[in-house]
Amino acid sequence: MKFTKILGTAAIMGVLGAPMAHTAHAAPNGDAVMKNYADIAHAGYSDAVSTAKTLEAAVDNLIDNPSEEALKKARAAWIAARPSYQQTEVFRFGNPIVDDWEGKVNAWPLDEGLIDYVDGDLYGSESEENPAYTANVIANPELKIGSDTIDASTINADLLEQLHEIDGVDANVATGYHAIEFLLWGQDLNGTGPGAGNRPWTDYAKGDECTNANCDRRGDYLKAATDLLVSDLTWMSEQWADDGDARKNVMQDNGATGLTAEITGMGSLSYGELGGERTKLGLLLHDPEESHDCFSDNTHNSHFYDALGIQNVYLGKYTRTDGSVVEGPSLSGLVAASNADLDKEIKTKLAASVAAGQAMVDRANNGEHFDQMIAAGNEEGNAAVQKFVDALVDQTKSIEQVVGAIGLEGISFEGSDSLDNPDAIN
Amino acid sequence: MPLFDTGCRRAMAGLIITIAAGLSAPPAAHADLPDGQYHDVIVHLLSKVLPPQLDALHSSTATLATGMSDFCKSPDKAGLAKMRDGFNIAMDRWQEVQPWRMGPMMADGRDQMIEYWPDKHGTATRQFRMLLRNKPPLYTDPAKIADASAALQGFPALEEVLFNPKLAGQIVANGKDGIYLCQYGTTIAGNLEKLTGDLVAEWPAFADAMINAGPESLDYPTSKFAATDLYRALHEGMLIIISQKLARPLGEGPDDANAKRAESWRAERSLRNISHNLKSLFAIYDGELNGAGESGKGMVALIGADSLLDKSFRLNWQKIRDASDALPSSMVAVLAQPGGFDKIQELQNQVAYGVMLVENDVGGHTELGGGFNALDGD
Repeated sequence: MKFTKILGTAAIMGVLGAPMAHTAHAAPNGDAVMKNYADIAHAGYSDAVSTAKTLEAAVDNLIDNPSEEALKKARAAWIAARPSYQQTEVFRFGNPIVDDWEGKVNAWPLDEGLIDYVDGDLYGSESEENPAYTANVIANPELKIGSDTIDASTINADLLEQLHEIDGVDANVATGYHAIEFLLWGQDLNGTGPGAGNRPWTDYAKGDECTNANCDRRGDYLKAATDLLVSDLTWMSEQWADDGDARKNVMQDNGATGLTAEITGMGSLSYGELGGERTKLGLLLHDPEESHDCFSDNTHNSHFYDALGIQNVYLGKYTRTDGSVVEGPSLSGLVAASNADLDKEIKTKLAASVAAGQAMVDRANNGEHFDQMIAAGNEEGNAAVQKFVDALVDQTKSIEQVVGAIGLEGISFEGSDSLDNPDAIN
Repeated sequence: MPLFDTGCRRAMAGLIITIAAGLSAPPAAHADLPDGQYHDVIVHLLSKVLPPQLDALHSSTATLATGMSDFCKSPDKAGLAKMRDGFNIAMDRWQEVQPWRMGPMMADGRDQMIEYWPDKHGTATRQFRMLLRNKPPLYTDPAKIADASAALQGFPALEEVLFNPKLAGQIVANGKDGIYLCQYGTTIAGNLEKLTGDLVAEWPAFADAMINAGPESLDYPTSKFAATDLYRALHEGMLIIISQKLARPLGEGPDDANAKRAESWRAERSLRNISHNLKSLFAIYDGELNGAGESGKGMVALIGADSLLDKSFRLNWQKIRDASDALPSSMVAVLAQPGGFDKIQELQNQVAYGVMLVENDVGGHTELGGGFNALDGD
């Protein structure tokens, strides 16, 4: 479940527009904090565009010159594209322009039978909720979805956009990182055991070498999805440029609107989305499908970079893909000016969640990936994941206090059916 | 024009936010309430009203567990009917506890182990299909089922076993598959007995922590802070009815409606669940449930029992109850009738109006409203 904030910004306009009384440090100007916040967003989305273009080139090479090596390079490019994007997820909640768009690029989980062939034993053949559960666009030039007939003879961006979330079903994910991930790895058939998806390169081979049929259409799909990812990310990057609408929005009211978005983004991503839907739910269900990057076994990295992104915006500092640093006035400075102890507490807790994320990365690098960590009976793995959840829940409680510390009232964060554990919070 | 006439579920959720946002501004300023008033409400609701409901839930699951064990020794149609009755009795009790989303209810995902629903990602369906195919011994082992997936150890899994005609037929036939299924059902019922027993055991310590709110408490620095959990339970419980229990099956409109997306559709009691939820939610406001507690000592005590506001709230709540009472238990049956969609939508509209009242009148005057809205997760 989600809790969505209802917050008037008028309450904090005075706080951001005027020097604060009884402060331990000089408060940074609200405009300056939001300018840096927008600069970080722009840099992050620009890095996501850049790495997606590298992925696009690798995909082009795979389609033009299919081979084991070409598939490996495309997979590596997908993995390399994730850190920059995941660090931007903190901009999603609270910024409607991002939240309304996000599903096009990072929707999850997906009913992958919409896109391509699947293992019937594992996946099944029908779903009560989704008439397109096994539509298999790649195999079928004409699709029957519910009462609709769709011409899928040409696979291009228009078709994918038409199919995305078709019939109002969120799991009909036709575009974005995870659709591409499925096309590069295929289903992970290893359950909670070791191993990721193992799609053969010959799924993109030409002529008689083609496996699982329709290799040309599979290549068309992969190409269209990757091109669309680049164009969608480019659009979002532009929204945060100097004259972009997302930037203009957060700069309103001396930065009050943006500050609301920043705190909402930090809390909602920490609590309901990352801590709950993406992590705790996996522990409750012990199911490998409850892994964010389930085909590639890259969930540990995606979670780590989400946590890092939360820390980035609080500290007002982002290290770009090329190693350069975007840095400036921050929410941390604003909090420190009114409550230095709280600022210290939040910094400590954000560092703890990043460290807990790093611990999962370390386990993965030693051979135990997220889907193995959440397996029933894996006490150590479960504990490592639970520690990450606990750290995220804990930092949310401190982030909530920012609201009072800088004069905001009535803000709350996305919740989750999987969380709300008072023992963990306290 | 009905509130939820058109648009996808996501848009519908957005509409709820808009409504709530428009009306969630607190009413005219008034004096702060003494913390002792919040304390009295907490004491009443947590120590007088809810514990008997928890006991009744535990007792009903214990009866079901014993009944299942006996039934499986020699399963027949009459026994199956009795087990279905037992399921419904326990489910009624659960639906009256379900809205109290706080403390031990939520700890360690207990509420989801008791009932994992909605199955947003289709995980439960897939896991259940694999269970039927592989029939792993884990799920017939009372000592181990608690460590299994939340989706396979609670009410929805037991509902599938008892009410899916194919599976129920196998149980009565008492062949190899039926024996496994009956053992699995017995194990689930026993697990429910344990889960609800743990809930009974852990509740007093939680209630004490809430009751003893104050500067010395690490968890609840004031009674007002603690009472926020009760307001949230009332508010979220209503939003869950709107967004999960009604909006999901209603879909985008009459042509898209699908009762199989509703809670407990297989047992044909989706609307009966809502009726019991509403009864319990009103008790948070009023202070009395199934003879436990006392009317006027719930959250209404903070706004004044018998005040104009209270009388207005009660009149409006009666309209919600009337809309609920006008419907049979089964959403499958209602949606199959001409005009059935509209009848369910009328209930949804009434509950949505009730949410506004809770936010504006209860949230505003008790100073506990924080503008929370419950929506479907990703």
